[in-house]
Amino acid sequence: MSELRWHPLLEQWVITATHRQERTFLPPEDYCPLCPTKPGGFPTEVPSESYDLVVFENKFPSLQEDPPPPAVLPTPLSPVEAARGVCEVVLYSPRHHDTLAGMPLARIRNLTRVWKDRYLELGRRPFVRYVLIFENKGEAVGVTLHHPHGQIYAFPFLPPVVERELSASRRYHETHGGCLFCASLAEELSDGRRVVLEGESFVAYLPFFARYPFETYLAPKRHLASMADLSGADLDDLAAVLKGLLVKFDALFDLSFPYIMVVHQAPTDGEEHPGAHLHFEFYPPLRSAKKLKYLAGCEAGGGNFINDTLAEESAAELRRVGPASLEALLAAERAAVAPEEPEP
Amino acid sequence: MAEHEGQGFSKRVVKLPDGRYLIYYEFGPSPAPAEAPAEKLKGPDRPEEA
Repeated sequence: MSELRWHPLLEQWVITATHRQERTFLPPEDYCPLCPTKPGGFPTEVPSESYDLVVFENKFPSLQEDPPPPAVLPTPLSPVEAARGVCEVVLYSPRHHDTLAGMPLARIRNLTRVWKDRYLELGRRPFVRYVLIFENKGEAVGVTLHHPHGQIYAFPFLPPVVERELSASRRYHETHGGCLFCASLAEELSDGRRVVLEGESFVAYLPFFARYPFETYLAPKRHLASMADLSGADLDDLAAVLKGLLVKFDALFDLSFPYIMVVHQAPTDGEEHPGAHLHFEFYPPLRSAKKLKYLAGCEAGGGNFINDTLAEESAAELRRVGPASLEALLAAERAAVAPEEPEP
Repeated sequence: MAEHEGQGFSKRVVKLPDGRYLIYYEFGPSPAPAEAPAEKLKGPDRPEEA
């Protein structure tokens, strides 16, 4: 059962999806539903002995293209709607123990093509107003399946955080006639203290206003509204800077670094959004190797983040570890050109 | 199997027994080449039977 319930105090939709209580939760490795189906083995989500990259509709979706009608009646203060949309799972690799940081760059380049294709394909569906690409990595952020994968939600409305961001961008555009994100990014590049890794098209940096100790943005340096605007060279550069950043994350505390990764980009609602600027946002929950940043009273109840660190110092820590530059990362990739071996 | 010229991949859409779609994205053995600027595909993905 799923439906959209309106929250009149915050003016946003809440998705109820009670069937998700039954979803697979941290299964044994031998019963991973996202691995290829082995001959004679139990049938996984993917009916093939191997695959390159796979996208499929989530078995436990929050939003469905043909949703059931709401189970409750609306009131004037509490509208209810069917939870229409699409929830997809993106399998990055057939190898159970892969992570984005550890994959060959070629595979991440391929993934960027899949993201772009899904943005275009889902965005064409008339009821889809926003395509949200994201990844939850690590049990610290609630992951229930360890196999390397991300997700895509195609919403029938603009998610509230995105809407708020676009609203600020619209006001800036009306007042100053330019892109707020571009202006903010220009300040970051000029200052430089929070820049972590820079490529030809993309740059990774901790924003001045970082809310988490290692909150990081990854964005194109010129104004590009969405994945659809990225050329092949842009996608290659995105893949390289993304990998470089994730290698740095893992090197920071010498562990597989948990994070939430979310892609913000132009809505697909057919309206003009001159302030929409593609960017990836990373919310890592760790503030040290063994300490989590919790969203407690002030954050969850008040909406105000308290960051126990300075973005300038966190950026310096990230610059010190992992590849020193994009050139160093690419050189290491060239040195490790061995083809991927299947896992035993 | 739909080839996506210039994008470096082909994709095959199948329908799972419970009606959901699943798409295999298949890339060549070498890294994906740089591609032409974005262009919208011509129609929705059409599933084949699994």
